[in-house]
Amino acid sequence: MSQRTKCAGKPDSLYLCAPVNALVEGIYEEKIPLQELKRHGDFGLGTFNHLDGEMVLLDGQVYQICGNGQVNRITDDSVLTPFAAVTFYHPLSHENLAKEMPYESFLDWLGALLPSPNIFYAIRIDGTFSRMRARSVPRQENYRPLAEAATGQSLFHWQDIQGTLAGFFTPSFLPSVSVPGLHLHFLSDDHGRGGHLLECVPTEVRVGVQMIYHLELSLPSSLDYLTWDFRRDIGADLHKAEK
Amino acid sequence: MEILKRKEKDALVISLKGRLDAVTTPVLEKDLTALMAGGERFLVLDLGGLDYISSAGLRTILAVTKRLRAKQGKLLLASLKSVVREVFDISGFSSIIPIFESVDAAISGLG
Repeated sequence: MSQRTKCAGKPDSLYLCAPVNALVEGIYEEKIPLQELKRHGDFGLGTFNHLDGEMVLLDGQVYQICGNGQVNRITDDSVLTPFAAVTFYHPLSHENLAKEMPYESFLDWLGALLPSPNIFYAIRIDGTFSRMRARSVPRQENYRPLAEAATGQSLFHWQDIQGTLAGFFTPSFLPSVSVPGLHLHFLSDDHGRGGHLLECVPTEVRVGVQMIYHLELSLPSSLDYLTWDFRRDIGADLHKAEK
Repeated sequence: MEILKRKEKDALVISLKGRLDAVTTPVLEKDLTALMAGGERFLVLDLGGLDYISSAGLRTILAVTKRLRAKQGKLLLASLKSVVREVFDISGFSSIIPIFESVDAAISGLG
């Protein structure tokens, strides 16, 4: 087996169906079906056309966490997405954390699991959380900037909840491509609750880490995308919308 | 994790036994930092007794390799079990850090 290679000779790669800057600018309509995503991964996160909820892709199953908190398992592969990040998940190693840890400390602890800040990682965290704060966004009209759309987000708070955080770490120098740093979405074990992670306090979790050296970025062939002016620095908007 | 040390020629051989993960890595990192501060520049990690290494362990090995290189030193790995060797191969680290079949081969590799 060659280095960094699995799955019939294809290297591990992070697939982005579009750069995140298009989403930040408010391009919420693309013609990318879930079927296409699944060709590139069984694990990841994203959203749906019109920013209609948060997406979690776990073990090949797509879940939609709607703005009202309802969770739907999406079995129709023709459903469309304007942004998603996926990979075929097979972790390099696991760590166990068996004590309650405040969120800031947990972020530091997770950071110490990553050998270098200059590559991608897929991260899966399964376990119990004494507190979890997440959000989702109700369906939006196209062209409403993400930072503005996020002001109408629904916030969810849970205590003593079991579930999975799924997502990626992206190097800081790629903010126009994907959300820099940790970007995680949550789905409860009963598949009834979830959202974009804002904060959590783990009590007992198992963390899987996959190092990813390859990026596969698809650029949409839509009129909006091809004619948009992306020269604006979207860093502040992305931070506002994601944190 | 158990850490044993012995001097062989110009190298310090550090034998690790058990698991190198988020729990045990800080112990090893503290130990290696003290050794480097004490002037050790050629370290051979004997991983024959290591049953598991996580990404946290790789992080420390990468950091120590960089610090030794800045001092014209070297970190070499020896006697990896297949399960540990696979982690180095998949992570790409086996192309960064020299790996030898045995401690003797590693020490010879220091030239």
